[in-house]
Amino acid sequence: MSDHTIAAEPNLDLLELNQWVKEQEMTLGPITAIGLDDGRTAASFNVYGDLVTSHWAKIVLRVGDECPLEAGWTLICKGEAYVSGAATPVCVMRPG
Amino acid sequence: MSIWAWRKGPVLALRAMMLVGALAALTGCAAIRGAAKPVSPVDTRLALIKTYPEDQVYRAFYKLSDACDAGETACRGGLGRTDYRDMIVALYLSAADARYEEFRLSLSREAKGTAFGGNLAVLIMNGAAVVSGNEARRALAAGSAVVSGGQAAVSKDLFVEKTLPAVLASMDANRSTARAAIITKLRLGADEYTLPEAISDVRALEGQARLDEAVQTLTTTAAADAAAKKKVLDAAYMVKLQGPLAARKQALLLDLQALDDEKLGQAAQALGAPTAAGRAEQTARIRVWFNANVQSDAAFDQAVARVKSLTGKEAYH
Repeated sequence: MSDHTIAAEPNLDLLELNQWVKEQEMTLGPITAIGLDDGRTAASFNVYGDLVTSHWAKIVLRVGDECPLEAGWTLICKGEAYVSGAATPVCVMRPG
Repeated sequence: MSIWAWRKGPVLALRAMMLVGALAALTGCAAIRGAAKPVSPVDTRLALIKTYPEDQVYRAFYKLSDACDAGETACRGGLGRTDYRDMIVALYLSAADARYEEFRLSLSREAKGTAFGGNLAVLIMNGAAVVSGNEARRALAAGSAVVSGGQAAVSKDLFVEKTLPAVLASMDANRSTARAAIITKLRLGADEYTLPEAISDVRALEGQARLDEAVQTLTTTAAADAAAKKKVLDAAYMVKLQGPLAARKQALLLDLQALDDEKLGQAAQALGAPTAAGRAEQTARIRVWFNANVQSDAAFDQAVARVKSLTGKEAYH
């Protein structure tokens, strides 16, 4: 076991989904993947990594197949997530 | 262009005009510009249409005789009704294209680095007000948080830069479909496809140059793509938003991780979490157990009480 996968409610909006990811990184470890699971958003976290205390990962919507990375940010993964109930292509990135 | 140029085959003339336009786009220009210079200037094409106002061309179309009486303007200059219809449609299409080219160029020029660009980004993402279909509406509403919300995760300029070509392509595709339908109907005689019907179709084509329509097409396509590319993960259970409890949980977990190996094992036993050999494994198991079983203030307070002899803390605020 290195990654632990859990689900979020599908009706979270983008801000809430980011808050959810932050909360899981605080108590499980860094996010490694995001996707869909039976009508819910599923995300995997590395439970062997350090608990994240700052620079939490952020989910942004994908533009076409590209991730709109800002300077200094690192792409963690691409995937799909339910954003306000709609399956949406997203990118997960981390600052610093 | 003289009205007589259309006499021997207006549909062929229309096709030839389109072919010339296509060739002009391929041959390029001497000076470097943001777009190919049109064969016929926009102003000329728009001025030309003013000499054929709608009320006049309708009267000319329905006039029984092909010929013009002396001084008469609402007449067909010797053209049959089908030929006359084809000529007028070609002129109206040309004018509609001229307007669309202006609109397209101004969008490209003004979209970046201006308030208009920011507004465009919000319009695109807030297409919720104009699009139909719940999937698209939800996706767009969700996206608006990125651009206009406090997260500022995506720069508006970057968003517009990446999205505008797709929006323009969507408008182009919608116009091409409408144009193809008109060209097909022009094969019919004037009695089956009248001039008012044709001009109405040209108006519908002009209506395709709408950002909201393009956004709808775009999101419908994107939704279909997303459905085809769903990545499936196997989640163990659902975790709800924790709010302030998340920080308290992290504080307790950090305290547990600071314990030595023996006390860490004792903490796992006290909590009821699985025990494991090895510090890293034990820590991971406590985290997972905590994540699954401590999702309320009451459950957290119980956990704190169970390990307070190890952490030395009775509460976390």
